[in-house]
Amino acid sequence: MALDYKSSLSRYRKFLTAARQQPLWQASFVLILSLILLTVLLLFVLRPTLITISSLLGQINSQQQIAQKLDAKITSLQQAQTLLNSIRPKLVHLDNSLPTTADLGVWAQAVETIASGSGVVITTFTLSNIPLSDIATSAGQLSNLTKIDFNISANGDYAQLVSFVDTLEKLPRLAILTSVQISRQIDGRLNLTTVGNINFAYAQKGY
Amino acid sequence: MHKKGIDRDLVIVLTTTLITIATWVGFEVYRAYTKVTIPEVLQKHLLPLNPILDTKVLDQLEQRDK
Repeated sequence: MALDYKSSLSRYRKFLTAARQQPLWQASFVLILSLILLTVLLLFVLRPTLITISSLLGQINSQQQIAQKLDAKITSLQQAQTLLNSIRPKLVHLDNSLPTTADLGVWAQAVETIASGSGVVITTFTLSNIPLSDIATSAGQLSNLTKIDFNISANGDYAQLVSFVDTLEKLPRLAILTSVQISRQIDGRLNLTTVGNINFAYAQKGY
Repeated sequence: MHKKGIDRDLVIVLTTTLITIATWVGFEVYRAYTKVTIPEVLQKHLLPLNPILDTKVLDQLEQRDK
């Protein structure tokens, strides 16, 4: 066994010596080892380093863009705040025109007041689609206006009825009149039928 | 001659392997540079805000109430 080992080793040495003396082997041996070394270095050393560097550069780039966008948003918010402060006294008109609750009692009272002021007699006053709560139960309620339909019938003379409709339109709370009909009754009196709707915008979120 | 053929083939294989690995590393580096994830919470904050408010309607409402 020992003799086999020694004879194999000596034969291998002779082979290497002979191979090393070959000019082509001398040239390609170094080239092959260099290529193998380059491959190993590229795979296990350069690759993780380059990936780390490039990912850090990418993060720096994106953070700079984020900072720019945030700066622009801050500027926009400041402009919006300044504008809001300047128009704040006018917001009360918006709240009167489009309240955040149904407030039907207040509006009905206002209608009665203008009716008595105009001299007309309200015979029918109907409100439909009345919401049960002033708290929104869905995203759709928060983003859209809620409509409440009304139907008012009143008796009076022409001038009184016109005055009533005119004042109704000019109430602080916006009322959209979709139909106004004046008809003569059997007894000769004029009857007004007004159909329309008022709106409000939910402000409280309950979901 | 046989040894010459093996050496040449080995050099060609190693060279192409090196080129392939270099290309792969290049793509990985580019992907690492371009792939940046912004958290969802921050995405919402980055949405642009229009500071212009429509004051015409408010002016009309103010005139209406007068």
